[in-house]
Amino acid sequence: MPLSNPASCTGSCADKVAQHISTWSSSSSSSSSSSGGANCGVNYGPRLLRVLTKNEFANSIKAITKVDVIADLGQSTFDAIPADNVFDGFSNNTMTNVEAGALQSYGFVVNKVVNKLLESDFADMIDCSGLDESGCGALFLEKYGQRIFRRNLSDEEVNTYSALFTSEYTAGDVNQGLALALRSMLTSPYFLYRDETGISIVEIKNGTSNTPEYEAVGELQSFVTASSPETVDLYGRVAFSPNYTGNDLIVITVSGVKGPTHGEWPTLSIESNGGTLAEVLVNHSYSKTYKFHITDLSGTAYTAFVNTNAGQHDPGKNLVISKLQVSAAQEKVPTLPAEDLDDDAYVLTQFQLASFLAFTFTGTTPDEVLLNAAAADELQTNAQIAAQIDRLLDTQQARKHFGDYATQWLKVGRILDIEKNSDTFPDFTPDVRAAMAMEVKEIFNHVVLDEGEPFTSLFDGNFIFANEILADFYGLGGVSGSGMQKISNVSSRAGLITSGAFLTVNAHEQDTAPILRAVRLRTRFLCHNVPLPPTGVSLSGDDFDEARQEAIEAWEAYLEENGGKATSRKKYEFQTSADLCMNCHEEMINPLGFGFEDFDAVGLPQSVDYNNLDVEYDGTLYGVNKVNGAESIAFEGAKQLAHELAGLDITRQCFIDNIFRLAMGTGSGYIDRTIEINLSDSEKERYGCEVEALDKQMKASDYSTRALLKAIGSMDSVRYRKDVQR
Amino acid sequence: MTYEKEIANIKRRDFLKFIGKAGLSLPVLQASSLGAGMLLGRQAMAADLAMRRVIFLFVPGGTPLAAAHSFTPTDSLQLNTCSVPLESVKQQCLFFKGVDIVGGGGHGNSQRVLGAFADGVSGTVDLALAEVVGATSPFSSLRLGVRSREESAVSARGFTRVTDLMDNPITAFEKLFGGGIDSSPIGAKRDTKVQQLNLQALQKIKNKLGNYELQRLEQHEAAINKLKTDVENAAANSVPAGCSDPSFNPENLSTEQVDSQFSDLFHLQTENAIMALKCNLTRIVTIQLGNNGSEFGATGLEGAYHGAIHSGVIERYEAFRIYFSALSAHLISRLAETDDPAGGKMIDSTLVVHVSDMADGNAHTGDDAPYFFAGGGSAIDKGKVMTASNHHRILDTAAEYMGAGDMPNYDTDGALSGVLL
Repeated sequence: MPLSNPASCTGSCADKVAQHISTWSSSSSSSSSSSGGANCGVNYGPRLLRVLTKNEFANSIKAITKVDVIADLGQSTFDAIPADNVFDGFSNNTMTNVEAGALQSYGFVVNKVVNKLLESDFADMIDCSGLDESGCGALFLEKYGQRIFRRNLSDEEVNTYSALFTSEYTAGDVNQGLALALRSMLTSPYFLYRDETGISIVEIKNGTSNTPEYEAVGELQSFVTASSPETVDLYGRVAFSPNYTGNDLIVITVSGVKGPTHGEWPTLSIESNGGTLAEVLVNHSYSKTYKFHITDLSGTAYTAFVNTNAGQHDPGKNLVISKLQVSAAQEKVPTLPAEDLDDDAYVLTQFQLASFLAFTFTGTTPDEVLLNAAAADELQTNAQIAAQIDRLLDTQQARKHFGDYATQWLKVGRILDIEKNSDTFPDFTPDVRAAMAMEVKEIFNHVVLDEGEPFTSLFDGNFIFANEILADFYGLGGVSGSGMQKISNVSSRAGLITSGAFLTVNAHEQDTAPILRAVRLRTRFLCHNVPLPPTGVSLSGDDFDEARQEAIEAWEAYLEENGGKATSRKKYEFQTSADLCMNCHEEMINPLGFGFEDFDAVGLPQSVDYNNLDVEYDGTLYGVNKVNGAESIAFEGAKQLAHELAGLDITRQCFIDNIFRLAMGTGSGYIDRTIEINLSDSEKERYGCEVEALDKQMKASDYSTRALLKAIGSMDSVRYRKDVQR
Repeated sequence: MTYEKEIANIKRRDFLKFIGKAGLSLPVLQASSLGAGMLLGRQAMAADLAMRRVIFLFVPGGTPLAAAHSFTPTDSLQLNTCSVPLESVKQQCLFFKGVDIVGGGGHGNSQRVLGAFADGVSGTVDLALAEVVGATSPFSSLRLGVRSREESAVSARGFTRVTDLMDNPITAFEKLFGGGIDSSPIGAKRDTKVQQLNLQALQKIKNKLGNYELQRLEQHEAAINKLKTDVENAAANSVPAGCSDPSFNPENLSTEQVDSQFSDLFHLQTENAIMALKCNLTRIVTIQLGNNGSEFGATGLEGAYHGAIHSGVIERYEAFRIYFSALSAHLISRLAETDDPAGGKMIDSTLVVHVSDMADGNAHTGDDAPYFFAGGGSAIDKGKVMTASNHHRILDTAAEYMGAGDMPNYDTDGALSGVLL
């Protein structure tokens, strides 16, 4: 309530003020929600259906089609890809809707991609020379079906998409079939959503349906292949003598040719031992795959595949068999997890796990290695998963992905275009901005992915990455060329906290921004809950305006006495001097932000500001583990602050919580401080347990960040999921 | 089926009836978005209500010391410090005073300005209108940003913001006019097949998940159905005047995505909006200036808007607010200058709804925010100042103007009286 006049706070005013203040102390640290490892059982993650983020969409398109949306289609096309929802500063599409406008945008971009591919008749994707439409379709689905949907296509899906490769849609141009298949599949929900919904544990235990599916096991006996298809005339047959086990699978891919006179489709009959095993009308000109589960044949048995006449006599009513395989069969049953799971739990499939790993660690669709591992059930053990993560982290795509992550973490994306006074900072050129943007990414990747420096150096390391332009701007020199290089033994800076981008983005055109720097330091590096400036009643009323007016007048008097000049520190002292402002600014914000004054508005060290006034940069961090905590750290300048924070538990725990957020779409204690979608107590407990376990593993591995990332992939909460309420 | 969807289907049936009355047969109506727009325009000529359009203009950050102090005109329409640039168009305006932003002022959750958190509604008013009156438009609603960085879209369903906000005017133009539906018979067949396959896929996901994520999946399903319907509706024949060969940026304005080019970018998005409305590609446009953190600068103004708001120098804050009013005036003027192919000027059938997320940005208050209507033709009682208790009632009034007064209200009291004639 208004400090100078409590009586003016009537009605709901006091409640609102109390509610506002109460937000300061709730869930201030990343680890506060943890209930401790001893009580942690299986930590289920949230069942998610994430819409691809803008980058994930563009990266996936490039991985699959080789079309680079920006380079090949232009910035305006990339800009058409729907934007991301952002929670707690990070792209997060776990709750995003696919609205009509967004779907139109996806279609718009995909059409451009497909048109680009049409220019070269899909030469970079597929070679259909020598194949008819049906064969080209089969080849396309074989090469790309699994990649696009990030799982094996069902027989029904294969048949459905194969049907696009007919003259009804191609009009005789097979490239139009490819175009249509790509357009359909790249705008399909199966492509647009990252499916992390899993399979019900009940279904795994009890079987998934009343009509079991079978898969081939053991030796595959192949009798017809696509390279040597068999045409079976009316009344004709092809026959073989496979070895049967009494539980077998016949897989046959076949297309039909209508009879020229009566226009009827042919019928396939599978016959053995004088009986008919199966009969099917082949009423399609494209290749379609059928599977038959056979249980009444054992040993070597003559088997004929007959073009039987079920209609009118019409020579030319032919069958074309392009694949025929026989093998032993087994019922498809998902592996039951070793853990004892709750009945409302879901287990990610191997393919869903492959997608999780690919998107989490590289920001793009799974590559063939991952998909093959999933198909072979080789993402089961922690060691298998860790090996895949290790491999992914060594890719250039991982460096790009985690570079982007670092940019969002520090909220420094605006470095490229934030307004700065060119008269005051003439050397702050676009090239310097670009290098600063790169510097953050390089430092992050060097420490976290390469482990080229200890983990704590992320926050206070005595090295930077710079090209010639940035090194010269920082006054370091010694670098030539445009490539970013590591410069060691730098005494003027300390890790990401004093990175040029962080300091510059959190500053005004000429003046520093102590408030922004303090708030961002707390929220991004310490996961503190810094309340938004209060709204409505707590700031309304004459008292506050009067206090602000007094502050303005005092400020103007100060300027008058000091030749119209003042340091940023002095300016914000006046600007936040009203009693109500001081509720937050007195300890939470100002003393911390003022300690950054040894760096100017473009991230250069300063002892005097642009007005040639001496700057003061003594500061205090009041509340270390949470904003209103009792602990405090006094420091002289941002470098010392960085050194003080680098080794703190809260700094590391916040880092881990943010990595957990990257993986699971939520922090351990909250999704976003500013929205009213709260995690349940159960979720907080489970995620808190996970983060605590991650912290233990990181500590146990000598603070290895790669060990942390590998541990992420093996979390219970990745593999086992439950429904959540959002 | 929701009430809104029923309404949309009724509109859809009306549309098909219209096709019959117009003597056009569906096989002839092969397809581009422009062709579909032409049809709607002709339908609209037959029914005044159905040709109304709306532009929601989001200007963040309120106005210095709230509207009464710096924005609201006197009852005799003497403009205030920050509304002065509206002088030439003030007779087209209906200014509201005493507007309380439901949910309060402040930088976060700006989707509340379009009613995202109201009880029982289908998201923000532009999305709700899109379902009811935009269902048969090629773009059920359109979102254009100016230096928003495509963050914090004001169009949302609850906390989930829509993702099709476009800052790049080239992108918007290309999507509006370059992304049409293939007009050949086999093209329509292919386009239909794409949507059929995607619907099948979505249905399988729905079947698998049961009630889980059902709301999101139904939204997606509605989106696919919308695109499927577009294919059925589209026609490639004649298009409204001025729409057959739309040109982008004839004045060669800057398209550079930097704050210093804010004016040019706004002008280009204004042209995109007007062209989309004029060509009946949509009836509902949302234009968003900047983002909810006010972290953007503007042409010719010092520093960033947020910094100006909190600078303690009221003139800096005023300068931004005056600048935004000049942009508003530009939009209104352009609507007044532009011919409506159906007759008259675009301003006669287009209502501009000026909204903000705060009353006084410096104090983050929500009482007495700067809201006003402009245009709307003879349906709106303009050239005056009137009291509006809260911004939800203003949204309800806009919905009623659009002929969707029966959709769920944002405020229990519904539309304001004394606005619609």
